[in-house]
Amino acid sequence: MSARILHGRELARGDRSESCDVVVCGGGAGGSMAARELARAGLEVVLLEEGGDHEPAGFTQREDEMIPELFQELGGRRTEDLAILVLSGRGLGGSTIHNTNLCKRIAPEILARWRDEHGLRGLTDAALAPLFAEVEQLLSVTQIPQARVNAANAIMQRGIERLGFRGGRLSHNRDERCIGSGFCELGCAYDGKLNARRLLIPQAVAAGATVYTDARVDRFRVERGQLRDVRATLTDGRGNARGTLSVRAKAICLAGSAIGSAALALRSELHDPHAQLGRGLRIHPGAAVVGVFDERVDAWRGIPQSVDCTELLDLRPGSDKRVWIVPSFAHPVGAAALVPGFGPSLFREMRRYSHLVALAAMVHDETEGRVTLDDGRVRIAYEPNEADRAQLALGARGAARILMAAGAREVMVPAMPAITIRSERDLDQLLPSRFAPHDAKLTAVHPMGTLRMGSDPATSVVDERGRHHTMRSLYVVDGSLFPTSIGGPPQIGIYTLALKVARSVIDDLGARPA
Amino acid sequence: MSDPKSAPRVVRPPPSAQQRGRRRFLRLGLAGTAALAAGAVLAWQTSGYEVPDATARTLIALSAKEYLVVAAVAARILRSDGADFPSADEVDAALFIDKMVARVDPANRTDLLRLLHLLEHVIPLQSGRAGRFTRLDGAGQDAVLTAMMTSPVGLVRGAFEALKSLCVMAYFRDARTWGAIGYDGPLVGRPREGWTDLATLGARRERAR
Repeated sequence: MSARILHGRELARGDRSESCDVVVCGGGAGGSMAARELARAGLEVVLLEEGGDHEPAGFTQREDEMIPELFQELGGRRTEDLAILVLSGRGLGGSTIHNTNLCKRIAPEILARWRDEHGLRGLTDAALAPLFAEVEQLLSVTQIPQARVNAANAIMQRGIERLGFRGGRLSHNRDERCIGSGFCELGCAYDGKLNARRLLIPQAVAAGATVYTDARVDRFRVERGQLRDVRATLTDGRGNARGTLSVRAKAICLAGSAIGSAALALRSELHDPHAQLGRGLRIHPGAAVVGVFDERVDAWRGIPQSVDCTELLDLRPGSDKRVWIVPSFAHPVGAAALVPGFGPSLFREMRRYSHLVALAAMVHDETEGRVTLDDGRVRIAYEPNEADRAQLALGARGAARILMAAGAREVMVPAMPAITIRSERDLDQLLPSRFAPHDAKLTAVHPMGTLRMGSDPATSVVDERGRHHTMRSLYVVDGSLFPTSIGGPPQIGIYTLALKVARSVIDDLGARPA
Repeated sequence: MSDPKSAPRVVRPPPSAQQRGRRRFLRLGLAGTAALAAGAVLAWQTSGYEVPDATARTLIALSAKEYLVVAAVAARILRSDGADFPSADEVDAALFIDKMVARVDPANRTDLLRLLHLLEHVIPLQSGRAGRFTRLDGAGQDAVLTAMMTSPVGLVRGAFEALKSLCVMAYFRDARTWGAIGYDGPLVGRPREGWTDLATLGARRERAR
């Protein structure tokens, strides 16, 4: 086995096989970190990624070309009832290719809850702090300087300051190559993101890992409680089979996201005596709130998300404030999909495009959704419960107040029928009932849970070390691990837990960490 | 990580209400039993759907009938409020959607195509319109689409949003639509001069206020 990146679309048609110590299924934040760590410990690693390997030169900044390439189901993945758009990444680097580089640690309140409610006694803030720091150093995480705050974010800052709300500038993982083009969600053409593809995959390969892209993992097979092999289909990049790949390994790390990993576990009929696979899905459902300003904002220019508002975010269990507010801007296709209505009314709104500032009110959700399979198709069952609808309403009110305080002439909440706010009194329209499925338009970008960590096998899938409760050669290294929502951007948490789990694998296989 | 047909079947819990609801909608239709039966028959009618040979030759995923339904939907959803926007036809919206549909995985593609047949034959009946969607006048088509958009059945609204998403992708991808909304398009391919100022433009503007 030699270190390299092999693209399914370029390989000769036919069947292949590999043998290694650890096979990693998924090349996003968690999979890339695990592959790097495992390979650096001297283990033979094969990483399988369903999507392609995207070069920065191929990021055209066009929505019609990049969204289908960088997102699952061409960017059209929705919950079972079609009510919530669920965006998750596809391709080497996963969601770190299209995310906006937000970096926050998992909050101490969340870790305390994991300890108290899920028995994760080793995941304390103190125990994870060195790992968080290691990840942040690796990714060169720094706070965005004020000089790089774009117009839309500056408007949000103004609103927060005028209201006396709590908020601040965010930390990111990007470097001087970032020119602030504003096209982060379509992939960075300037390679300014210090993401999994740019940093971790090259290090994994340099340490000896073999990476396959266009390699769709169909299932893994288990024999007498041990991993037998992993079966994948090598594709042409458009889903058409060109061959098969069989990988024999001592251990497997699932890293296909909270949706993909759960689906793979279900397809593979992973031992699941308590029917836990796929349960506990959280997604941070978000409602958009859009302010119309007299001045031109051109919100698509500059770093899209550099400030946040935490006034309505208290992460302690039982809190009645569970909303994180961040700027959220879309290029024209995304914006038009969000605007309610069609025909002339749609175009009247789009004429104001350069005067819009959008905020997202994202809920630290308590709703537990579920990933299942239906004739092999992935189904996402998720309907915000009453408490989370109330939080969406609370968040929309907060976002609307920020925009009005910043000087918005009018605030819209994309919903059917549309909600328009021109005064404080109009905020009363933002009732929880307006956030029922299919009323307000909801989007989710942070799938979590589904293969949860926990000390009790009856309520979890893997233990605190990320290892399956009964199939001891299976580990989880992605956001599936989270037993609850985390109420913030997940990439640092995923990188960190993947690093921790990878070290458990190294220990279990008798290797030594780099 | 979609599932190959060859993978062994997985023992699953009974479908949820949502799953049943989606299947019922996408596979059977929207109306009551009688209307559904009629719709199922009508859905397979293919006569009276002709497109120019040149168009037919370019279609990848859509039949002539499906293409005409898509073109009619796109024409209404993308009917602008002024002459400064191009029409749906001018940006070849329906042809673009055909290409997108060709990329959708087979199971979702089947659902989408069934939706087009339902829209052509069954959904107009649901909103009190006799006749095929493609034969209705503009006002009639708008009424059908509005009925979908505001339907008390969430899945119908979701189906409308899916169609609308395809239409706006097909439309606002075209540079000819950008001028009227003030969007200046991608930076790649433009001279690099001035780019580094983009990030600070906003902050400077704010400080000037």
